[in-house]
Amino acid sequence: MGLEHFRFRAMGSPCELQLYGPSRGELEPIARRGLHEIARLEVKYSRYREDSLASAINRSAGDEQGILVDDETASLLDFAETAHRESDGRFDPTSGVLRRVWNLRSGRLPDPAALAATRRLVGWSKLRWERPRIVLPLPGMQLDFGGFVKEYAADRVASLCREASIESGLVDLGGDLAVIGPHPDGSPWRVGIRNPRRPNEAIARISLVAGGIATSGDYERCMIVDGLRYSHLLDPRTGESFRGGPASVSVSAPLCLIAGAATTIAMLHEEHESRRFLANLGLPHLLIRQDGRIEGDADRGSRARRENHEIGVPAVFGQVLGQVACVDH
Amino acid sequence: MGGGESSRRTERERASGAESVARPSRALTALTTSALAVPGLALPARADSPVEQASSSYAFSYYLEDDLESDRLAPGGGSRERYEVLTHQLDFKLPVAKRVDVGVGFLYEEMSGASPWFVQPDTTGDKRLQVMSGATIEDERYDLSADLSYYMDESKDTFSAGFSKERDYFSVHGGLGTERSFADKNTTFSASGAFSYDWIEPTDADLFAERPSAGERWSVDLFTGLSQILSRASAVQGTINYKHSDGYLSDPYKAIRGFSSGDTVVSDRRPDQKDQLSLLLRYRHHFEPVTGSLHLDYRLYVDTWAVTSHTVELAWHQNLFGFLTIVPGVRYYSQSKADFYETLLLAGTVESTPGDRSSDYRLSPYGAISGKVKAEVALEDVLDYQPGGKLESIGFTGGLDLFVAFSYERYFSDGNFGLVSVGDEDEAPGLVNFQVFAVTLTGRF
Amino acid sequence: MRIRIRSSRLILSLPILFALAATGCAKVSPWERDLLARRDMSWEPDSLEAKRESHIYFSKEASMPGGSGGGGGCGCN
Repeated sequence: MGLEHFRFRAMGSPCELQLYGPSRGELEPIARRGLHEIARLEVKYSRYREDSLASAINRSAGDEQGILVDDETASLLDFAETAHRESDGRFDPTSGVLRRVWNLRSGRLPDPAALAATRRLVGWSKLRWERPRIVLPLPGMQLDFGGFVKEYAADRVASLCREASIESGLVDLGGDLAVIGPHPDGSPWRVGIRNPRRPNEAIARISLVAGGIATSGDYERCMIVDGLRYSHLLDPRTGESFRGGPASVSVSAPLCLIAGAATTIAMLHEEHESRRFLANLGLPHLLIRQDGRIEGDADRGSRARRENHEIGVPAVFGQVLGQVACVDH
Repeated sequence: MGGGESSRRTERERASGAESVARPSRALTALTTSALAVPGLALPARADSPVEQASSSYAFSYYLEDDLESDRLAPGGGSRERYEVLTHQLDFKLPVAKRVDVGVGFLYEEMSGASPWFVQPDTTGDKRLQVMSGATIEDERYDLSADLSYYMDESKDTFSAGFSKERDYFSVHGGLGTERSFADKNTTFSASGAFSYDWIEPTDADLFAERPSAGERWSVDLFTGLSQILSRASAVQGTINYKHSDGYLSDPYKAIRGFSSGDTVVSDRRPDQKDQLSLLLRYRHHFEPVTGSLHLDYRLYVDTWAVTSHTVELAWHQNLFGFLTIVPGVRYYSQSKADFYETLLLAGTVESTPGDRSSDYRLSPYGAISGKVKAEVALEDVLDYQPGGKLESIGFTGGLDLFVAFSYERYFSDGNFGLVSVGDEDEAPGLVNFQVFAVTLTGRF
Repeated sequence: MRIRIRSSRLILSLPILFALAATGCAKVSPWERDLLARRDMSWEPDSLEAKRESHIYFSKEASMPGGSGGGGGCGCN
């Protein structure tokens, strides 16, 4: 039984499936099934595709009848609603429209009138979700699945692999990880957490035996205007780029979907409140503060170590994600 | 990294009325429940699987008994120095097939010292004194055992066998065992049966009238157990062990002093059958805020020689800095005497009732207290290397994890430590106190 | 078999206690077993130590070790 790596690009990120199996030949059909599932979810929930369900939902904005959705979408919307409620509004799939006015590449802050107008379209409480009917009453409102569909896809691929009798493996979709099963001897996968300021390095390592890990960081995309740093993390409650949050949060949870929601929510808290939120939540986590200090209790039953030297990104991450164009510390 | 620290601070801050963070951890329950409601997200029940990574452990231990107290040694009764044992243990675990793994264990031990022979009264007749064996015994023991385990999704079957050899003793054993789990592995049931056969050829049999030149015995050992997870941080286990032994069960090197028509020393003689029952209850609890685990074990033992014993063991596993674990522990033991145990055979008992008799302190009534401490260091990823094809096929994966542990135990036994107080005429003068120093190295390749 | 068990009632009630305990327990799902998977939460974290201790106590005391059966004895003095 050997370990095979399948690398590919999907959902805008470098991805990797690590599967234990008798031979690459026997694993290939299973890896392909995983890729098809990812492609299916991309087609279904991508806001860039005209033929996607997400686009159909968004086109129905302004229509009082709304649109009926299938079981999978309904359950994801139920999850989004729960996350919205449990985060006091920080997790909000209607906040995607803010991207129209926050153009990070422009180097300019949004026009205040445009921002105000867009803010009127943001807020889960403004839509009506009565399973299986979703109604976006205001024209221009949008549902953005992008905030959690990658994590969901990771869990789905892991699930499919398990159904195909793979007992050991790891799904890595651009840093959102789902464990299929620990190494055949029961030992955990060692996951390196990227250093937010030097993305080629791991700042800590978490051991994972089951479930998933998601990481959110403010380093992915940002812009600097008048000496102030504006990250891509927009607070749905204010419409503004959120300031004062941690540099990065990683959470390990029974499902990558849960981990992803937790990191998104944690990043939209002030640093010390983020720590409190994560501690209250009760999931193993790592929080990297703006000053570089690491906090959290990811070593419950496992071990997180600080890597202070140049070691390179551990194999599970594959390639480096995007550019950290505006590191100015 | 202080998860515990941040939770404690959280309590304080919550108490002082801080708000504006998302609500507490029923949040997690809510998220998890709704995430799991998404169709097609199946979570695995982690099945037990054979090792893929080869591993090996080596332990060295030094066992040293305290000298017999001078006021316990009979005049001219031999050396006060008792036993010391140096032991080497080596274990391996290797995968051999997709669902099969193999374990092998070696043991080599060197023993030397004097051991208790028989008891005699002191000049007043009230106290009992120990006579030690004349020559200092020097012996070696070799032990080899192997087991093969076959894994299925919810079960594991094991076959084991082995032998043990000393200068005057040879034993072989074999057994089968199974483990089945239920309720998502919250409950595990196990059962096993083993058979062993021993041959004894006591040394110097020709020098002692009643020492047999050879003896044999066989035993059947049946075991069953149930483990139950109680909560995220605790579990309990109960096991029952039954053993039946048949054959020569006496100790050829021990004797008992008799007083009737003159002094005689007669050999230790025990029944040729023995049934034993042992019930064990174990509890484990992990305390997250302090990253420490509590181990509590209780064992009740009874047998057909009328010995009843109680054992309680308590240990605390404290994790520090992630790589260091300190384990202090205490053990309390109390046993009653075998019904044929006597320190001496007084007038009228030797010839008239030639029954079973033993002055062996191990069948006497007493209690024992021991304290131990262990320190273990975990060094993960201490070495990276490229295993060749052959090495990979037996489970070498290219990274070495090393664990080193040091431990010390101090054990005291005394007639007065037992649950029932023991009179001077029953207390064995040969009760032993000892120390054990041990070092263990474990590597996962 | 002449086992004089004064605590026979206790012994007989153990399996019943166990069954009751098992039914009363909350089921812990696989993803919640991080603590239970710790090495210091296993029944025998150090198998060599367990074998050694069990052998020492068996040689110096009258009782049989409680754990899983099998394994030979020795001609210990």
